[in-house]
Amino acid sequence: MKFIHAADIHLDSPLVGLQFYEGAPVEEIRGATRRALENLVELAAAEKVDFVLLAGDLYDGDWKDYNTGLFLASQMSRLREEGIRAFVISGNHDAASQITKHLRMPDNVKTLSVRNPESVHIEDLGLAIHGQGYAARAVTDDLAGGYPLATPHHFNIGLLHTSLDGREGHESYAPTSVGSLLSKGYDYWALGHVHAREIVREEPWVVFPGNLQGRHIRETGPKGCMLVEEQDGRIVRVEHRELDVMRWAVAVVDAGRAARGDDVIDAAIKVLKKAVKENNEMPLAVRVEIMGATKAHRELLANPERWKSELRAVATDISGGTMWLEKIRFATREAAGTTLGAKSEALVELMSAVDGLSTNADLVSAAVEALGDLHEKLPHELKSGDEAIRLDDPETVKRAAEGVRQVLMERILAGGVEL
Amino acid sequence: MKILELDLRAFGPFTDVRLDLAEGHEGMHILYGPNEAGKSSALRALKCLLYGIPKNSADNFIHENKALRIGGRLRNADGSEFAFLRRKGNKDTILSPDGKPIDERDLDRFLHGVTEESFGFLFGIDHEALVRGGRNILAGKGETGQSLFAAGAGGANLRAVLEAIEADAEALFKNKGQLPAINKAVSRHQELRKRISDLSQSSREWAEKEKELRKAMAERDSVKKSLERLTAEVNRLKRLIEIVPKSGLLRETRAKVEAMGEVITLPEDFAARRHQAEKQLNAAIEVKRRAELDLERLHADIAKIVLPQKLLDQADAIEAIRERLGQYRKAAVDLGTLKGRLQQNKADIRVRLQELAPGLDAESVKGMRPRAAVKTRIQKLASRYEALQAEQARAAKALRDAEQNLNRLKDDLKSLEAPKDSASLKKSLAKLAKSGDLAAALQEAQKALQNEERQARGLLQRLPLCSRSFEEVGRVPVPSSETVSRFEDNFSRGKALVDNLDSRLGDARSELQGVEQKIDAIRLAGAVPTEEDLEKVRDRRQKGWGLVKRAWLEGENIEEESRAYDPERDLAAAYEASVEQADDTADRLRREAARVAEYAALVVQAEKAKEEIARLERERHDAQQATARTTEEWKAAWAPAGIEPLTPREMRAWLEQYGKILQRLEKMGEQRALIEKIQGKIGEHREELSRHLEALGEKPATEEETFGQLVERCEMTQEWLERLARRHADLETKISAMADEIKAHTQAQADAEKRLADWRNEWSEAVKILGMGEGTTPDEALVTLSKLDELFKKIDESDDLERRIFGINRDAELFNADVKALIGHVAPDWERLPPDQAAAQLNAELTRARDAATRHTQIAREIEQKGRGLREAEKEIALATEKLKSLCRQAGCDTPDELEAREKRSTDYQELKQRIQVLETDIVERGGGATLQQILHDVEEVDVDALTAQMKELERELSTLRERQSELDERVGSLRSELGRIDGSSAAAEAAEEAQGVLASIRDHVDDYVKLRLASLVLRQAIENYRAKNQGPLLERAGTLFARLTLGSFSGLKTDYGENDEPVLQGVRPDGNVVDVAGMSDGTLDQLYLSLRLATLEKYLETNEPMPFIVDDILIRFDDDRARATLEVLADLSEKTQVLFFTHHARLVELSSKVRSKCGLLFHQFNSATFKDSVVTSEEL
Repeated sequence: MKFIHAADIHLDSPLVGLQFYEGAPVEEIRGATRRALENLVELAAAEKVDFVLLAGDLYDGDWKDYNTGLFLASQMSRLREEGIRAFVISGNHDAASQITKHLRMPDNVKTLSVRNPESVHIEDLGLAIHGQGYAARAVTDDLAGGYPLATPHHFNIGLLHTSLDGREGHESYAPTSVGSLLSKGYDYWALGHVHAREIVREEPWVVFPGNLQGRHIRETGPKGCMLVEEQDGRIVRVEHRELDVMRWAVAVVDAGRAARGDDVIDAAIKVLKKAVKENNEMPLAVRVEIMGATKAHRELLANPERWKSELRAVATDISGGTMWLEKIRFATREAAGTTLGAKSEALVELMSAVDGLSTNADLVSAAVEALGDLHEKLPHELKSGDEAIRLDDPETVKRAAEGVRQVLMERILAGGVEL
Repeated sequence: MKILELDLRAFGPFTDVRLDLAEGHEGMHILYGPNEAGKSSALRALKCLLYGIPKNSADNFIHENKALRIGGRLRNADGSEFAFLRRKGNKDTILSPDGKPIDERDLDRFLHGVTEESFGFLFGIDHEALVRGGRNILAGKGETGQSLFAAGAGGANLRAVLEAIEADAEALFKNKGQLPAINKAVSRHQELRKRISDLSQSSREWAEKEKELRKAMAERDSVKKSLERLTAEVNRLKRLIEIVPKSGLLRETRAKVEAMGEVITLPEDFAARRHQAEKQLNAAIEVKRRAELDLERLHADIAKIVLPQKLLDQADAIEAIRERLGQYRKAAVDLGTLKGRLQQNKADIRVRLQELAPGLDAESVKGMRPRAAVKTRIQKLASRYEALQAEQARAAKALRDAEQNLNRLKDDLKSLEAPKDSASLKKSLAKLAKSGDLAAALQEAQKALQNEERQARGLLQRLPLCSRSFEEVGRVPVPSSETVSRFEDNFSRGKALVDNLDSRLGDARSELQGVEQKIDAIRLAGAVPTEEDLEKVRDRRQKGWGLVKRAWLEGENIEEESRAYDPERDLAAAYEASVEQADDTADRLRREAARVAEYAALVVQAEKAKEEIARLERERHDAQQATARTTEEWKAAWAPAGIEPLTPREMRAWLEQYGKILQRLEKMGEQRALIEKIQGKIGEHREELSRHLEALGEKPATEEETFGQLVERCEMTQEWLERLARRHADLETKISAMADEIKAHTQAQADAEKRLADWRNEWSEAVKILGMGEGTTPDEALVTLSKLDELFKKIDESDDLERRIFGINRDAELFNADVKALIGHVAPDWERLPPDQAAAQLNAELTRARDAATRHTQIAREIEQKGRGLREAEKEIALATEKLKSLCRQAGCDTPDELEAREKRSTDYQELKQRIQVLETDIVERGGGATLQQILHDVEEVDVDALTAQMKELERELSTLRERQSELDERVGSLRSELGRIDGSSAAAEAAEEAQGVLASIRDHVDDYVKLRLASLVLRQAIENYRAKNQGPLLERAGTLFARLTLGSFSGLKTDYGENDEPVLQGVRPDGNVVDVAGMSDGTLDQLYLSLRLATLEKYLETNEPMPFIVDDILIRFDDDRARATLEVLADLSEKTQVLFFTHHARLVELSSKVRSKCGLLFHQFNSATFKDSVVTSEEL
């Protein structure tokens, strides 16, 4: 018996943080979550698995487009053509989704009940699947606690959408403990909800397969599903299979040894080439972080746009147009001994005015006011969430001080005398 | 920090060029180098020295990159110095002067945190920066904060910086804008949000629509079926209703045909053919009638015309006469004029004949007409005559002049002295010149000698101890400095020894004293028995006992000895006392053993001390002896010089002084040798020159004549001789040239005369032909020729006039005769009329006759034409009649009048037949497949009204159904298309992805915007803060500098509120008037900016370590006075910090001679190869 365990498909959930630019691989990564699901179906067919488990979160909760549901249904139909069954529970996102309520799945798909734990027995496989979906968005009860004990002489699988005993970055839903799971006597716990892949324990197995396709920079690395093989009532293989069509990565460029901006580009090329190689030349969304105390610091900050576009061009070039630079962060520092030691009172005054962005309450409030118009105009998506832009927050002004200093020094020094 | 030295060892165009900048308080250095001299390279080298040679430096065109070296020596205000070399490279670019790498941080102590950028920024100013600074002040309308801040920040164009920052910010976001990047992205995001919502399909809606579609489709199917059924029924009824009237009509028509019986059917075009024949006939009849009428009229007209045949026969002759008539009349008029002119002409001829050849008449003169060739020849000769004459005169004059010149030149040569050969003198002089100005060299050497001697004498006078004369002084046998050193050593060693001994003696004595004091102390505490005391008293006791024994046992007289033993007591008492004493002493010794021991030790110590003192005193004496000996030797060493020496040290100083004298003496010796050498050379030259002079016949050199005078005389002689020779040669050349010239002139003159003679021959021949004498001048000949021309012209004219008069008369006679002949022939009645009148009348008659003839011909032609028309009409009538007859035969009638009725009958019949056929076809077609017979049979029993009512009902039903069907079609279509759009498409998802992209770009832009927006805010704040803090003192100082720089044109600066209520800078005139920056000239703005810069720099220097102020040619736009004022201000600044002023304008070097400052200016002039370091201070200038 062979089956696939996947979860957290989040179909049609958009990739976040990818700014469009000339040369960005827009086509390569369009509809990535759909392509990943297609990969799943292809894998199932190629491996001739007996069934597929989907442990919740097929959709994004606030996504309303029924087309998404139809696409899922069409993929399930393809499984049906291959004679492959699918067992599905709804996760927190699905419970919130409008699509779930109306979608008619083909008859090879079995969606387990959301009201009570439901068990399905497939006698020809000697298989018992137990599970319960989410009836509401937030399920804070220990659902697993209500699951029945293992059916004797069967291979027992528990299907559950849970944060287990708590996982960073994930809401605590259907909390339970590994001990509680083990007490049921199942052979395999197919979990969902946590996007990072994790084999919590083996024999009996408790597994988070992670999500199918990374969707932002906090979901780096290969993504996919678990391919599980059972022989004579024992699991002989639990293998991760990559299904993602594009991957997120963070490339840290050490500019410490660079004397000039061009040296930094050279260093970045090495790091990016390595990333391309490591990910088998698949499309990548890369965050470049340029770090270190470097002599090129000022040159970089003098004209970040120039270096950004140069890095983008380089990325496009070395990846054959499949790399998208999600963001380029210049986190360099002045190399020791290159600080501007000017003691000109005018410049000292300027520097202290910059410092005023942190210390001078009047200036800070003037700054917040100056940013007020933009704050009003910003879309609310940018004003909420983990990386919210808070232009009405004095902290934002303080954090900007270093950048402001660079802008001013650069622009004012540009007017000096070239001896 | 001050730069003491800049060593351009290998950099740019420089190789080992050193620039000493150590002079001056801090020093204002003017580094002057014309273009290409390497000024810019030097400036760059300065910067590279301090901050390293850039990777891409172009200063490696002479020295390789790795060989580039710039050396420098810096000094901090605290006096510490640092000398180093800069090389090009990535690390270890600072080397010690001997080439070893040094830690770069050692240099940092001299840079005081001023980085490369801020160095250029704060301590550098060039012309461009100055002009830009001034312009920026103007562009900012003198806004005080900006102007001050800009000067404080090294001349940044603040307004431009602010504007650029704000423009960049606005390119990202504007509150009410649409175009800036963020605004665009935000509205794009809104669009996408709407798009997502539009594209997103709600699932409930989908389910409902699907259901609805299925329902609509089912209903549509049933409607369709009903429609089909009803339509068939309606069609059947419709057919029946249509057939009923048609079958009735068919019956009626068939009956009509039967009623007509037998009918001849005529072809379709029959009627047309008949009409055509009738029309043809009628037309022909009409034509015929008209033609007959016309012919009748024409015949009548022709009969009326009469033709004058005679006149017409003579028409050509009359025509010719008419043509000649005009000519005849004109000739009659001309004749009178011609006759008058002839008469006048003849009179003229007579007058001319009278003048030229009296007695001859016109006829006889005719043979004398000159030929054209002769005339031409005379004219040509006459024109050449003057040229030939002039040529001859010119040639004669040229010859005369040349001969005079030759004579003058010969006289000149004769009066000139004979030349002499001065070559050897010249050679000697050249040799002399090569050995330089010997006289001057001699003088210089003598002066140097005197100088040395004076100095040496001065030194000697100041030299003590020596009474030798100046001449002897060099030979004084003084000891060598080594000897003096040896003595000095000896003396000092001796002294040291004595001192040492003295000190040790002091020690020993004081030790002794201490010991003795202790001994005394013990003694004072009571006598201390010693072993010696014991021994002594025991000896005495023994001695006493010996005396006692001797007296007692041997009975010796020991009187004497006992007295000696104790003079006061007898032996017994004495012995007893001695025994007691001995016992007592022994007892005390035992009792006071410790004191005794100490005492004993002290006594021993005192002894030792005494011994030591004695030894030291001996040694001291020896040492003094030795010193005395050395002193003797020292004196002896100087004895030969006759000098009583002082101490060696003093004598060393003396020797040095003496050494200087010796050096001077030596130099004097050198100078003397030099003088002797020069004098020797002068002697040789003198002799040689004198020899040459004699040889040239000049006075030889005399004793009184100095060498200089001699040389001058020789040079003058030589020069005069050369001039003489040149003059000789010159004259000879000219004489020979002149002779050649005379030859040429002589030849020219001969040629001219020959040409004149030839002309005369030709001339006499030519005039002879004209009958003029040989002496006739060309002018006379030409006048005669022209008069002859006029005469013959007149004669020719007379002949012509006579010919014309004769012709006119002849023509008139001919005309008269011709007219008369014609009249006689045509109209004899007019014989008496004058010929011209008769001719005119004939002509008029002829015209009339011709008109009549023309008309006659015309009518005759018309008659013939009409006759032809008449015949054709008759032919046409016959043709038409025949056609009609043939038609009658076809229609079976006798006359054409019946034809029309036959035609109508045929047409009616055919029409009916056709109608029947149409009806039958129609009926069969509508019959739904039945035969005609059957249909006609069926129809007979139908009730049409009932059918119609039934059909109307069905039709109403149909139209309702159709409406419903189209409604359903529409509904199904729209539902299908709606559902079709929900096909699992990813359009909404893609829009969502794009929306995320847009959000990401907004995020990016917002970062930048925040930086820029805050930067502008902060910069404005900084400017305002800086202004508030510095406005007072800075403006006051800048005002003072401004007044100086503008030479008092302004007295200071103030700040006032401008248009926008911002503080602005204003210049104050001495009379208190204020001038806005807009009212200042470019130059004044430059000075304003410079004032602000310098005031800021001074302020900086108040609290910071000075750094060199680098000025690069800023005075280009300054007039001389203001430039000078600026140099003064900079010179004053050099009291506080080093000023390096680079320029390539020589004018500044000149100008700076007028600079008055307590700090001098220091000049360095350089070109790429050398740095000529000529340091001059302004005092010296």
